Amino acid sequence: MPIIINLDVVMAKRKMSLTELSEKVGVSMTNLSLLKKGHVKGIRFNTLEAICEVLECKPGDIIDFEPKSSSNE
Amino acid sequence: MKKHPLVLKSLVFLSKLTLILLGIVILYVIGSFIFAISGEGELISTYPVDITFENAELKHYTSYDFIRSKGYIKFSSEHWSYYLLKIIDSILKIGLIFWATLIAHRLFKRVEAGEIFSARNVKKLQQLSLLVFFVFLYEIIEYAVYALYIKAHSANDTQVIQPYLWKDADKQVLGYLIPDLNFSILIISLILWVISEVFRKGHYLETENKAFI
Repeated sequence: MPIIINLDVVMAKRKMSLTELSEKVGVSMTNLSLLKKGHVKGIRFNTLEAICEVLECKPGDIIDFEPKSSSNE
Repeated sequence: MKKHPLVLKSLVFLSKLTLILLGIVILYVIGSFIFAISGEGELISTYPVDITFENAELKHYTSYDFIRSKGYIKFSSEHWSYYLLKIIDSILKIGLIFWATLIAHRLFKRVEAGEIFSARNVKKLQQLSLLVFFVFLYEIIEYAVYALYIKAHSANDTQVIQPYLWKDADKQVLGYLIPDLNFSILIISLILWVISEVFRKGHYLETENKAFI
């Protein structure tokens, strides 16, 4: 999938565990884990807003787009 | 999710009660069959004959229903095979209704438990729809079997009750057997199919919703 999730990178920068993020955001650890692995179809704006607020980042820091052609090279 | 426990509990209870009643009816039918073959008396066909035919003479019928223009004929002699036909027909018909009620009961129980738009419910609703449609098809088969049976057993040489589809022009006709079909069953089947499609869409939307965090 050309959409890359960099949640683990941002979490590592903020030195925040998945458990802590889950508690602060109010999303289950299972769902956050799925998001981290990129195994979800989408993310709601309010979830994204809560994650950005807790991790003090912008949506672009968490979600990135890599076109298919460049990934094949 | 908002639930309506009272309505659903009533439906679960109603379907359970229907299942018990159908069980009793099956036992009653078997009991009546044993009683009928051991006893003596007039044997009357339970399949209605159309008496709107101009030459129909009411004296040939044991009873008639003027509202539906239907009459019931008496067989010329005792035929135990008619009882057998009747019991097979009754058990098959009750069996189909029992099966449909059982599916509905399980469906209501799952909906009451909060499992609404699941793949299992979609499948069961489709099964229910096809089963109800089969009840309609069964009525056509039932007509064919009764018509052929009555044609073979109730007639004397000159006056006959004929199935409309297999009429014999050489004989004087007392009445015609026309299919006693219930088209509301067909409509119920179609409505159930539409509901199953609604549930399928609901299942799809619920799965999509779960895939979003």
